[in-house]
Amino acid sequence: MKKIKVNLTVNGKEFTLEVGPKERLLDTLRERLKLTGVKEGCGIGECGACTVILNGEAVNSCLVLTGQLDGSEVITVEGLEVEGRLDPLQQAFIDHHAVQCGFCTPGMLMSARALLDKNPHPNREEIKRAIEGNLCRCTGYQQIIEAIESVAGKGEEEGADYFEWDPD
Amino acid sequence: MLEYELLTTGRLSQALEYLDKLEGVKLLAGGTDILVDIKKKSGRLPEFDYLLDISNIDALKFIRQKNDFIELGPLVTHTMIINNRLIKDNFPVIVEAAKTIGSNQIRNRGTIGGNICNASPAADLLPPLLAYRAEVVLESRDSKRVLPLSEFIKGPYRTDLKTNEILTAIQVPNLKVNYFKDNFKDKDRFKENNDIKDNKETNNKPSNSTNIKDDNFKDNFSNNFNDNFDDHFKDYKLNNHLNLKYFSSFQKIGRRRAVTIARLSLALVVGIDAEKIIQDVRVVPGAATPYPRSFITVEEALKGRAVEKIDPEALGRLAAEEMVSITGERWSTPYKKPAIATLVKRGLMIVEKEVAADEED
Repeated sequence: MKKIKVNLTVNGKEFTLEVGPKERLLDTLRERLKLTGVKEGCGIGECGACTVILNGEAVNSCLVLTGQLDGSEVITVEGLEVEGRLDPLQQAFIDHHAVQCGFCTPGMLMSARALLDKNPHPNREEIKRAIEGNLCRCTGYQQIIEAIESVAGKGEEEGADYFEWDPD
Repeated sequence: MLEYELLTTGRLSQALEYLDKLEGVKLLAGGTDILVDIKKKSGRLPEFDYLLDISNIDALKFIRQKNDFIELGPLVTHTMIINNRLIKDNFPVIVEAAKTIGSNQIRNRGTIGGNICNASPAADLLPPLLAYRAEVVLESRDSKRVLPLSEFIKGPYRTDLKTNEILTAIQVPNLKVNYFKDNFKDKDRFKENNDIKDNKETNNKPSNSTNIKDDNFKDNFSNNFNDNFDDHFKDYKLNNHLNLKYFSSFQKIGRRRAVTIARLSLALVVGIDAEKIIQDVRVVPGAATPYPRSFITVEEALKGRAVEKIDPEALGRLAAEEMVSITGERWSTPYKKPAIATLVKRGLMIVEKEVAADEED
């Protein structure tokens, strides 16, 4: 089958890839780029474990073909940390015990990050809505919501690292 | 094993050329239905040799105000709909329905064009778009046609889209213009006028995307039609229908609030005149029938009635009867009959309440 050439920026690094017609963004990230923080849960857009930020928006990487993405920018959970320092959201997840088995965590973090990038001070309802496409079977969500809330409440200065994040 | 070639292009003309030359092409936009069907090996997915990705065609991503309608590009995502002032102010039911779609991730990728062309009986945007009498623009390499959405949807997961065509725009007519068109005006003449005006506009400048207020609308309207009316007809009917005030509601029932397929939904749009008589009404349930459509007996029962005199309970029962007359008794009927009756009752009560609240202002 004919391959498609795609230029993709992932976590600030540029890649030129030749991908097959069935390769999903999820496959590219996990299998080629070894970014295994991206998880496959259901594979049909129900669970949100594969959530990444694509051109500024949270998407299910299982529902996007890499062949569609020439010129796009992707951020995965691996891209949240800057020079060994965790994103405030990651630290908050630790502090609030928002991680149990951890399988949903990368997707959950990316949905939360996408929300805060657009809306630095969301209220509880907006937080719940932002993660409604991410299933968690351990925590019961309360700790996750509280973790996100704790970062949301702190204002821009706490999240500043990420907002000014420049991969180069 | 499904084998196909993936084609991708940023240009509409090239996409249309592919469709013209190749056989067995399936269009791919947001992918939130197709990639699920591929993964599940769904029988619903027709066989295809080529998957043509149109998601990068920027010319199909727009929301703009035209004279008598708002036009949306098929690649407008559900998130774009939710965040758009123009749609919210003019067609709130579309926004309410878009909010209930899937999850944030799905709404960021899924498109209005995909929702229409997939033509699921439970497609969330179909009831509001049908209620607003939307029209679809279909283009092939050498042709272009405009079709009412109600005629475009042919059955469950079936549309009138030809193999060489792409849905290139969705036009949602201004409620008052549409009402007028349906009831008072010679339709062909209206269309002619409209086309001329449209061409002029595209030649001169790109259409602006700002909201027109009611006064502006009135001006535009008079400019367009002044010449073509009998005077007494204009004075009486035009004034009468320009006084219509619109109220609406959208409801959806699913297994849970988020990431859920509609078990049943209802788009309701009601236009009342100064005496609070219902002059214009659209009742469109989703997932109640093989494909969404206006419930005509309910609409007829509402037309010409004073808002405070309607009996929501009886109209709910009428809707349930109309549903069963279309679908026959199915396994889901014992659930859907009382459920649709309640949605209609509730929807009408919401409208009654809104009318009363509006009076107090």
